[in-house]
Amino acid sequence: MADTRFLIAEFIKQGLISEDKVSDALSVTKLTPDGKAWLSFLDRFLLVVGAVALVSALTFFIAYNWAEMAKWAKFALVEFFIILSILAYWDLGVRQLSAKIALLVASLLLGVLLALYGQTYQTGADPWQLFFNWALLILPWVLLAQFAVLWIVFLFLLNLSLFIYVGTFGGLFGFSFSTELNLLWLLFALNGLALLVWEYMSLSRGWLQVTWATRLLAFVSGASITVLVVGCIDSPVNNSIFSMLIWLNYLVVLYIYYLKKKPDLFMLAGGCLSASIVILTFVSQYIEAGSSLVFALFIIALGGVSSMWLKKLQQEMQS
Amino acid sequence: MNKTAAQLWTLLKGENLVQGETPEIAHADSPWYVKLLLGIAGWWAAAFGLSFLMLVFTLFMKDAMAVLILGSLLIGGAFLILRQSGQTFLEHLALAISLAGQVLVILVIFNAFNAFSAARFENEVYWLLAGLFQVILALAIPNFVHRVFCTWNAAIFFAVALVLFDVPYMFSSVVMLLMAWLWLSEYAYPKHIQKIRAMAYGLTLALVSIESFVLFVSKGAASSWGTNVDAESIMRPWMGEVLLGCVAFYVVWFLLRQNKQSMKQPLVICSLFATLLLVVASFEATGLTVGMMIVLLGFAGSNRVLIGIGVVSLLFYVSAYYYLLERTLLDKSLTLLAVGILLLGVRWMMLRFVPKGEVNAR
Repeated sequence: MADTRFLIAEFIKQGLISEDKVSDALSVTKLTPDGKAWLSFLDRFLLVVGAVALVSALTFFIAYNWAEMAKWAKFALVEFFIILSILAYWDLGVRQLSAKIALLVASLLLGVLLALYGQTYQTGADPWQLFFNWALLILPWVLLAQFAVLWIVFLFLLNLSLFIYVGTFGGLFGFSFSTELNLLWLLFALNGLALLVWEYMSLSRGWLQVTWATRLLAFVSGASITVLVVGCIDSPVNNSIFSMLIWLNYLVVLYIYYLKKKPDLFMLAGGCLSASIVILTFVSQYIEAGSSLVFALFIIALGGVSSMWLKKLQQEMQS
Repeated sequence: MNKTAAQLWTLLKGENLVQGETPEIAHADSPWYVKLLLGIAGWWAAAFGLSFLMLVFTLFMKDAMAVLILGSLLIGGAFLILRQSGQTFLEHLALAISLAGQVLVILVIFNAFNAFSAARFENEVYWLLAGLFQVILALAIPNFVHRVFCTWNAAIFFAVALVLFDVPYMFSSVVMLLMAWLWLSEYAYPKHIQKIRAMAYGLTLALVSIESFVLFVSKGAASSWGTNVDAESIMRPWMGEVLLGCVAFYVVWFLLRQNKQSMKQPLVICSLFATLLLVVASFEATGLTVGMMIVLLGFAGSNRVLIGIGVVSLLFYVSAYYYLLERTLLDKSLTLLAVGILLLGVRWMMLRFVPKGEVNAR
């Protein structure tokens, strides 16, 4: 719709659509909703706002009474809503979006239940275990639902448990160069692998062809490896060359796949950003502190080159 | 030429709304992430470049005329770049240069370029002048993002000026009326569509900001400051809500008339009743009217960005309602329960009494 709005505005601005026909043009292109669209909108708007008001009312009510509620009442309340969500999943038809959202709600409430359990019984478990066990427990639902959002929630929980684990123990299986380096490598490995598997599986599964999810995974893995390389340039350690090689390989794979196989300008723009950051970090090692003008010129040059390349690619992709 | 333009042209030609071959569109709109990337680069470059300029011009910074000239030169330079260049990267570089120039000029307006004093910012005339300055830039400088930014600033400055004139809470209704008029007249002036859109976005963001400020001042964390404001004025938050409600009713009525709905139809009655419910609820949960209007105007123009802003602002205002200290959680819970039941009731009535086939199509 964003393209249509832009194009119609251009046609009107250039006088290609006469003033008396603008209203009809907006109708035909559905930029102005008709009566049926309005009815559908009002239906959904009132449903969503009404439902949000009711859910908020319930949340506020529970929050008001939480301190006075007995242990069993708190558990019963959360478990009741988990069961209700699962029943809704069955009732609404398992392939329907509303059913998948119900299962998502059940998955989130399971986390609330685990937190409540940990808070009530003070088991002494490490915080990372909460998120890791949460991810494990919802895995059957994640596999069943065939819902990209739920897979992202699952991966988010794994990332979070990794983050907390490394923060607590410094690394996996006793290896520890430095906490920050270990975390970045592990995040890069987890999200990079997830992206690889996702793109492979999406070739034969339509429900996985969700661009925002792959972009999110690419962002996290790309950000991790970029920060690793920047850190290694700034304070060189033994594995600097290794980081650089992995980063270069990552960019090459990104370029080949998202330019030749499955064109995606977002991924390529991300690659440009990563390359620019690394180059600027490298340059900053060799120019004097305070040479802000030189730095500005480098940024202008890199920005200009990225801009021209991306615009050229966009035109090629659209033709 | 891109495929979307060709498909659109074919559709319009099929309805005899256009003639001839598909036109070439010179500048395709870049996706938001490309604009963001180039924006980041542009602003970083400008920050480093400007820090260099500030070092060089330090000696001149104590003289008002010198600061004004420097600021004007920066804005003028940005204007020339924006007029000539279609490149997104240079566009953002120019925006950052213009921003630096605007900061210098505004410091001169507030007479605060060589010594900061809070008292200078309590003069309502300075805020009015700063607002007028932003309006001139919004109209003059030919760039979408620049117009959004300047319109946003202008509205905020005028709102602050009115507070200092002891007329608080009223301006959001003026901003909402202007915003609604701009969105509903988006295509009425063919040569100025982009200008209208930019200013409408600026007013939308300003409206959300001003309403958030009213929320925190009248009921939230800054309520002690709000008490001082109320002590010096006869205006109260509920008066602002009444005016917002009037604007909301006008917009809903306008949209219903635009869709050729008779005032006696059940759909119209349901729409107006739902509007009334949300306006009344907004007296308790500040911001609901504003959020609802933004979502409504977004849908009316098939503008997903605007709908997104409306949804996010609605979620923010509902969340903020949780933290407000004026009422207990139990009272808030009962209010929301009543609103939820009534809205779902209105929906039920609408679906029951409005047969889909009888809704007029345009």
